[in-house]
Amino acid sequence: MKSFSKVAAQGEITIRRISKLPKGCTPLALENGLFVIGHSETGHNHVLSRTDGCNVQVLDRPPEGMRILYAILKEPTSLDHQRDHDIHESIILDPGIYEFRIAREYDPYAELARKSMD
Amino acid sequence: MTFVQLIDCKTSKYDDMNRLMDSWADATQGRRTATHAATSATYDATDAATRAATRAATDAATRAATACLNLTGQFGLACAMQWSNNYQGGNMWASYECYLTACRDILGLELSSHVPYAHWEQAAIHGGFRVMHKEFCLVCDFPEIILTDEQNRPHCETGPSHRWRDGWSLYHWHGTRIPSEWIEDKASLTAKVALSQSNMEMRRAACEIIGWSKILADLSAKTIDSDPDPQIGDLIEVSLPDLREPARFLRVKCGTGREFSIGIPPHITKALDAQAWVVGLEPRDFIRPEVRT
Repeated sequence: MKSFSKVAAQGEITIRRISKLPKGCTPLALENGLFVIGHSETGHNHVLSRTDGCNVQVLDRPPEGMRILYAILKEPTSLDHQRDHDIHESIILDPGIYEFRIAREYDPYAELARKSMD
Repeated sequence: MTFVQLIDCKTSKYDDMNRLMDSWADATQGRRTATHAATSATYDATDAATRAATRAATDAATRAATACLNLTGQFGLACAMQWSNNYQGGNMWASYECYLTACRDILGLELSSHVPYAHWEQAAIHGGFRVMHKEFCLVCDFPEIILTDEQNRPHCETGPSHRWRDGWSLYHWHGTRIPSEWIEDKASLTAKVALSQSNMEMRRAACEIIGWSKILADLSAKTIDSDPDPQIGDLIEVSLPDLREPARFLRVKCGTGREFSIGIPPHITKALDAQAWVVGLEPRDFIRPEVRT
């Protein structure tokens, strides 16, 4: 279990401690009883270790291709990777406010397809 | 899916089949007015949505007509003219049914024509593809497997996205139909095969399946910028087919020690700026993570 003070990364998720939530967010719904911060196509999701004392929100209008979430945590909570090999080690989040930025990727062929449709 | 083979079969009974089809179309005209009535009434209420659905239906009919002409000549054309009447998608082509049902259940648009439409709706809920005839109906069972991605597009990385009980399968990558061997025999999908695909969506899917790291390893990539931290990585550039300018990628190690190549917009010139773009930040706001796992 790793700890940090300002910025950490777990796989494609960058975690930043912040002072307040931005405007324009929507509460995140539970999936199978868990807050899923980052989805994986193979089911190896990045999830919060608890749901009590967690207020998790999704930014309504992130930059193109991005997904950004926020969490107000009242209790120590870890971000866990649900996988049994090549696992990203858990990161402990002390009580506070956090931002989770899910990495994006540029696809040159998708861009070419988009331009050809314009 | 046996009935799909009907358009492939050769028969000396073309004239008989033609007459049978004409008589069936005449005989069922009245019964088919149930959906037509529901459609036209709802059409008046939501004109724009109907235009999109009609366009899709027209495209499908055109494709079907072309296939029939190629397969069976003039008889094929005669079939194509009536194709949409007797070949229906059930739960597999449920967009139009969703539209009609949503008008009733979501928008509260209660029409008398929704009463006869309810039978059609039930057929869509409880069955797959079907061919209707006055004397029989061929109905395809539900697939035993349907797998999708987060956006509900058909997708599976390790097998078919759809599989019926007789083994008939479809393969998709994030909604793009792909050949089965790309999944079942991944060694057959090389960088050369991927980059030679003329269909843009299939080429994109192929590149994703192989992984850009592997594709770049087969090509002569040029390093644009290197950061001493391997977790920030190298910005590399490579020429790819059909692209006017070289594509750029950030080759980076993740916290587990594995190497990834992430596509980066071509205007970015520094590895650190690429890291900032990946997480949606301006370079001045990007702080190197203290911890990476």
